[in-house]
Amino acid sequence: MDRKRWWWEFAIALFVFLIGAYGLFESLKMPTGDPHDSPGLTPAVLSAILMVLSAALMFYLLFIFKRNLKGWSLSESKGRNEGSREERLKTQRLVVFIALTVAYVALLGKIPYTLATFLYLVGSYLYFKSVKLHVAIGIALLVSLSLMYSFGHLLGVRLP
Amino acid sequence: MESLLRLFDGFVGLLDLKLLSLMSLSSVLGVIIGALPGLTATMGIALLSGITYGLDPRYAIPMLVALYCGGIYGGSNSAILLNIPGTPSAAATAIDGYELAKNGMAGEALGLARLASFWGGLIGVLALAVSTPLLAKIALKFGSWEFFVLTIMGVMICGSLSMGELQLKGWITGFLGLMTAMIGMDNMTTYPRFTFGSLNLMSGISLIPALIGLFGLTEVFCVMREPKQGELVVDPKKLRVSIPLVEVFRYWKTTIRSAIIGILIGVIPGVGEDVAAWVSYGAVKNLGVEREMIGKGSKEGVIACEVANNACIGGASIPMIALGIPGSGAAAVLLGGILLHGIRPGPLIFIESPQFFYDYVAMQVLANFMLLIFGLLISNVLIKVLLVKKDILMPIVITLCVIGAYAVNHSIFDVYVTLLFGLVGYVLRNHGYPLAPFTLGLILGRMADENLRRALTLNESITPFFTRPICIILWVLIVLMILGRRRITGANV
Repeated sequence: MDRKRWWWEFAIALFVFLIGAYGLFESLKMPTGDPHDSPGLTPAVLSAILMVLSAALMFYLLFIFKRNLKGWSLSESKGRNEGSREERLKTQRLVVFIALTVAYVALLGKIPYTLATFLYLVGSYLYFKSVKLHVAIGIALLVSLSLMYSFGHLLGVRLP
Repeated sequence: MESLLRLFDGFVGLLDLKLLSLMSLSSVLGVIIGALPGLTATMGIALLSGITYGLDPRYAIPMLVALYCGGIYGGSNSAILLNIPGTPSAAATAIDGYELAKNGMAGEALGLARLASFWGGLIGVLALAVSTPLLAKIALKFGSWEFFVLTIMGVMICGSLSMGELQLKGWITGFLGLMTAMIGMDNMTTYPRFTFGSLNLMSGISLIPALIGLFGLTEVFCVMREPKQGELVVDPKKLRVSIPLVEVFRYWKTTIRSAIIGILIGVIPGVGEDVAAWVSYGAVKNLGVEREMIGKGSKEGVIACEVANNACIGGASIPMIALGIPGSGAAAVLLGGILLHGIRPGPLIFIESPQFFYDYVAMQVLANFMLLIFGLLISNVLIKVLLVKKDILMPIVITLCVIGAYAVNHSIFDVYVTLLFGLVGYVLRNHGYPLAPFTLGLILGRMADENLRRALTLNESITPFFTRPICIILWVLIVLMILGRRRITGANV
C-alpha cells in the first residue's frame, strides 16, 4: 500500500464511520416505544456496529501508517515511478467517461432517449478514438434506433 | 410421488413456444455476456431483471435462470481463447484452458468446458431438488430470533469469504447494505427513515436499479479505465469445437468431487462461483489423476473448474429458495429479480407458492441443456463478439443499464440511483471492498429489521438470540466459517 492509497483507504473508513455516526444520531431521534413501534431500533444497532467496524479499520490503517512511513519517504525521495504517468492517463480516461455518462443521465428526461443515446455514443466513440467519425455516427444511429425499436416497440419497455 | 408430479408439471409448463424462444435468447445472451471480459453473469441478471419487469413472471423468471446458467458457463470461452476470464468464476479455467489452446487444442478445451459445465449444472440441480424441501422443512421451525441471526450470519459469512483483502471490509460493506435497506418508510409504523424529506426515497432504494449500478456500471467503469483487449490464440476459421464425451467419464472422480465442492461452496451465503472454481482447482492440484500436469494445459484442470462453478448455481439456489438467503452474488441478484415479480422465496414458499420450487428446478434443467446446445451453435459468433473493442461496447452497455434501471418504476430518480451506486461500487471495489455482502445486506435488511423487532416484542430480552438451540448452531457456524476462512477459500482470498 502506497501513501496515496493509504489516504484513500483512511478517507473511506472515516466516511463510513461518519455514516454510522449520522445513522445513530438520526435513529435516536426516531419515536420509541415497545420494539415493534421503534423504527429507529434496528438502524441504531446497525449504525453502532458500522461505527465499531470502521473504527477498527481506521486503527488498523494507523498501524500500517506507522509501520510504512519510513519506506514511503524513501520511495518518494527516489522520485515518481515510471508507472505513474500511465496511471494518470488511465484515471483521465475514466474521469472523462464518467463525465460523459453523468451528462448522458442528466440529459435524459430533457431530450428524447434515442437522441440522448445517439449523442452519448458518438461523444464517447470520438473521445476514445474508437472509430472514425462516420463509423461512430453509423454505430450510434444503429444502436439508438435498435434500442428504441426492440425495447420500446417489441418488448413494450417504456424508455426514459 | 406428489413432488415428482409437481416436477413433471414444471416441465410441462415450460413447453410453450414463446417461453422456449425467450429462454433460448436469454441463454445465448448469457453466454455472450459471460464471455465478454468485464460483463458478468451477475450484471446480466441485474440488467435483465429491470428490462423484463413488465413481462409475465412465467416468462421473466425462466429468462433470468437461463441467463444465469449461460453467463457462468460463458466466461470459460474468453478464458480459453484470450487468457482473459469473461467472469471471475472462469479465472481458474484460464490457467489450463489457455495452455491447451496454445497447444492447438482450443476446440477440445472449449468442448470440454461446455460438457463439464453441463454436468456440473445438472448435478447441482439434483442437489437442489433433493435438499431444498428438507432445508425448508427445518426452516419452518425458525422463529424471528433464528431469522435475525440467519441474516446476520449471511452478511458476516459473505463478508468474510468474499474475495476481499480484509474480512473487516467485507463486514463493513455488508452492514452498509443493511443500513441502505433501512432507507424509506418503515413497514411496521410507516415512519420515514433517512428520507431527507424526499418523496422518491419514501419507498426505499429500489433494489434492481441499485444492483444494476453496483454490478453493471461498476464493471463498465473498471473496464473503461483499463480496457484489456486480448488476442485470439487460434485462427477462428480453423477452430472446430468438439464435445469429448469420453474425457468427462475418464475423469469421473474429478467431476464428482468438483460438483460436491461447487454445491457445498454454493450453499454458503454469498460466496459464489469464483471461490468454488478456485477451491476445486486447488483440490485437483492435490488429488487429481494427472496432478503433475495441472497448470501446464491439463484437461482435468478445465473440468474441475467448470464442473464446480456450474454446480455452484444449484448449490447457491438451495438457501435462496429454502431460506430466502442467496448463496452467491449472482443468486442474490436473481433473488432480487424473483422478488420483483412478487414471489418470496423462503421457508413459506412450499406453502404460499408450492409449485414455484418445482418450476425453478425444471427451468434450471432446461437452461443447462440450452447452454450445451447454444454454446455449440454460437461458437463462431462468439469469437467475433470477443474481438469487438471494449471502447465500442461499454458505452452501449451503459445505455442498456439506463433502460434496465428506468424500466422498473419508470422513474428518472432510479437512473440517478444507478449512477450513484455505480460510482460508489467503483470506489469500494477499487479499494478492496467486496460488493456481494452489500447486495446481501440490501436484500436482507428489511427481513433483519422486522425479525429483530418482532423477537424483542415477544421477549424483551436479547438472551434468546444466544440461547435458543438453532441460534446457538448458527452462531457456532458463523464462528467456524470465519475461523476457517483460509481453509474454505484456499490461498486465493
